[in-house]
Amino acid sequence: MEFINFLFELGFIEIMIILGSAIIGVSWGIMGGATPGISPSISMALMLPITYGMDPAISVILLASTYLGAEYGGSIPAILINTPGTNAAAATVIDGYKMNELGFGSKALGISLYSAIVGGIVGVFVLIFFTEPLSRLALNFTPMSYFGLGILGVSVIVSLSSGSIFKGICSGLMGLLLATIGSDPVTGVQRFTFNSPDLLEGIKPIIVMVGLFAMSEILIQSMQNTQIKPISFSKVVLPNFKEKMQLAKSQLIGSIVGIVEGIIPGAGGSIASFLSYNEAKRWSSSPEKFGNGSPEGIAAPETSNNTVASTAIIPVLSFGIPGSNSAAILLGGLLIHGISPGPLLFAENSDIVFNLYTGMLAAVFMLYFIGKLILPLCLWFVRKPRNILIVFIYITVFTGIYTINNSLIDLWLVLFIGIFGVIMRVLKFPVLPLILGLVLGYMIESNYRRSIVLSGGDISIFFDDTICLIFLLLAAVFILISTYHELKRSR
Amino acid sequence: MRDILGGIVFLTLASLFFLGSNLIPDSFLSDEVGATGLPKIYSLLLMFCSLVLIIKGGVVISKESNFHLPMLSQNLVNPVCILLAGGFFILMVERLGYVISSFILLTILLKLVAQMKLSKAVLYSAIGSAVYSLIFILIFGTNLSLLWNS
Amino acid sequence: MKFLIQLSIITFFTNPVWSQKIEYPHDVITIVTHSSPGGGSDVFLRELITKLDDIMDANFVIENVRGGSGIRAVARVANGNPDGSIFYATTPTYILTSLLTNSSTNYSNLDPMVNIFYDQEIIYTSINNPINELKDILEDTNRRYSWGAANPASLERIALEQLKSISGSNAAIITHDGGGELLLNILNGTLDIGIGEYQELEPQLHANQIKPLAILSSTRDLNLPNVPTLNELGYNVELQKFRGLAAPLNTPPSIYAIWDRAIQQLLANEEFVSEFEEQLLVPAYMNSVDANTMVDEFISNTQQTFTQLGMF
Repeated sequence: MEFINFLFELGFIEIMIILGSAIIGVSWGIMGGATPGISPSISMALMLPITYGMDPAISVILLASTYLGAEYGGSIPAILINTPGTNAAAATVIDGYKMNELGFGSKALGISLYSAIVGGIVGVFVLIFFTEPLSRLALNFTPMSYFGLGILGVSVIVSLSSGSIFKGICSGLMGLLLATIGSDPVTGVQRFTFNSPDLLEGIKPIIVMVGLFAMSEILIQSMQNTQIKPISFSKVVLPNFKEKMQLAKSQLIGSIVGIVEGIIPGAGGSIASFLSYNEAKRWSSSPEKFGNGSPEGIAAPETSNNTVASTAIIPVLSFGIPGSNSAAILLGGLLIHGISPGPLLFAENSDIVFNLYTGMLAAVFMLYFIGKLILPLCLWFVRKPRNILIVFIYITVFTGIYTINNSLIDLWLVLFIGIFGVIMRVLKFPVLPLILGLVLGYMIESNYRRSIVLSGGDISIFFDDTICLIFLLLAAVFILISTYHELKRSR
Repeated sequence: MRDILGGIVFLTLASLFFLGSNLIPDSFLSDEVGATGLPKIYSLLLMFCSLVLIIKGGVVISKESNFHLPMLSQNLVNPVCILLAGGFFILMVERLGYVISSFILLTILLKLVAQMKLSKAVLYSAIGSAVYSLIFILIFGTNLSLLWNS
Repeated sequence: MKFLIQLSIITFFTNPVWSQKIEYPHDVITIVTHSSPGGGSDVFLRELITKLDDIMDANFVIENVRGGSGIRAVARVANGNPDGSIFYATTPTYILTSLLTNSSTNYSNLDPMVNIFYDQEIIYTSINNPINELKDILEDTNRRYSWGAANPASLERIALEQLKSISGSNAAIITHDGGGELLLNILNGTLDIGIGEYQELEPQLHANQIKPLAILSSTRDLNLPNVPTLNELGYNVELQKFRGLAAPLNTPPSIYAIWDRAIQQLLANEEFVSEFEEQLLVPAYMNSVDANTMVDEFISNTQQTFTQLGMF
């Protein structure tokens, strides 16, 4: 096909330029993604002005590789300091940080790097060969389908609240309540904002995550006098052949979930990583290890969110509709060069699309080398005495959060949510359902109400929409199975 | 005991949200569910679940003889220092600028939490705040630099 | 693939060092926008400064200040030096946010200095939809149609509500989380008609996936000569979004005078203007006095509508 010809026609200098741009993009992305507060979209936004004066081809490669690097980078602090660097890395915290605590930090980093590469390859492959048919699927998503997807997402709460379903539900409901802060999705009136412009757009999930994970961890660790086990290796240990085989199933699940979630505009990496974590646990031969440092518990979400990174570009290329903030910046990067993505992009600017593909391939390739180079540095950094480390993590988190909105309210929120996180952890309430509720709350509420407005108050509209019906049935089945397992275990 | 305390915390928060949702203004653009619909439903459900936890906890507590909160027996000075220093940073950063505030915050924390000697803490803080400014202002080029103008 | 070298050659030759530029008291002019890099306003500004570069003897910097739905960017300019070195790129957003919140920083902290363009808004439907005229929908009371706007508290939504009440339609108005979501729901047939900025819809119009039914300006647009205005159809609803610059209070009149000259010169250049007109941006030069009147009028109208619709 055309793209293969395009690849073969590349000259030596061009390949060098592509690889060079990919190295810069991926390194920049990893750095941004690994800093809590600097999301993939902010990393790209910071890169964007640099690309204005460049050739469109190079700027597209730089942006795409920044994107992939940042999506991967989020898992590094998730594993090492219990703080997801990006929203999508929230599920990686569970088993990643546990493995680190048990002294297998370098191994956990190896698994996440390997899974990111697998996810990246799958995603780019799908992007190159299946953009056309998948974009038609994306078009079938109505408000009802999004509502169904949201419900399917929150059904995961049951299996995330190991121990007490009621505690998990409380936590999840709290997340859903936090998601109602901001302007109302239908009337536009303000809810719980105290007339502050900083709260008008709601509370960003990353702020809650940093509060619940990083801040509460800092507070708890500063109380303790015991040392956590230092990491035994300073080298990153990639999984060996046998381990790769053991991870294959969870990675397959991660890729499938990632492909589906990626093409739905607005669904995003966080839902994908939670859903794939849940499914990997369900289909695993050793589900009891999940939550206690399971390699599969890292592989599934990491494969999934890195697959999403590529497949989320499909709606941008086919309709010019960005499915995520990062995709929106990519769109902006193209628009600035006078290229408008949409139905005619492939006909009018196929070289730009091919450059994008090439850049993403190069970025996945570079992820391996740059990961191997950067990770030992990260490991070296976290082996400092704990109290000094706490202080520096604190400042990093504070500065990172401030840069999101230049808002001091966000910093107060991080402090208070941190205290709340300590309370939740002391009282043994699971925090992940809260994150899930917060991430999905807006999608559920806005699409529920849109559908109800569409039908004039008739709830049968949800059952008339095939996609919605399938999601709702799946959610019901998941909840029943998980509740059954939970009850059986507590007996 | 954990269930009871947790139940009380969530019950309080749920009640606050429920009361707060009465303050949401009415709108002529309102739909069947309304802006207050879901916040009310969620907070009522949360109240119900926290009550279940409290009742469940009450039943279990008779069997739980020696419960204590593990954290309370530990060093509370450090976390309080961290929180106060954070609050101080937030109040000062727009007056003193990022570089000076982060330097002060680092010095306080390195001295009190990491128990470094003052001279060493000052040295580390100076290097630290310089590196942070370099990363966040020069490399990431974020709007932190604006703090100098205000 | 064409790479850097070509680009630098072009830059070298297109830099008209020989033409007389308007002198400016500062070397660097900062234009602050609330839009993130790559967002609608940001892309527009980057195009604008490449043109202004040829007219004014100064360097331009675009600063993207996110957060607070635009208020943070307003604060940045309001606290800046009133000496002509910093300006805010205006769109109706900053006024809407000021009206919706009680923030101490609001539109009154800035002075509209000059207006440059208007954005065209259109009502459109999917090419697969049998509707060919807006009247067919508005006058058909047998069916409940569904209309879409990009955001709940937006000017587009207000325009649809006005159209609904004038026409007596019983339509369901669905709000979204951005123009992209709305467009998808039009393309997949969930909604009958939508309203949006022409600029955002250009790729789909160009690819013949959607068709425009009406335009919301007072007169027809040259690029869409067959598309009637709402006024022509008998519905008195108009919507045009302004784009201009606002300065910190107390910026000297001499600075205003330079900008007036520069913007007039910009809009007198047919080549520039036709580039912008292709995106359906309508040149709408106004000096500070006119821009202030326009903004004041806009504020009082919006305030009135918001009160009527119960958004306060």
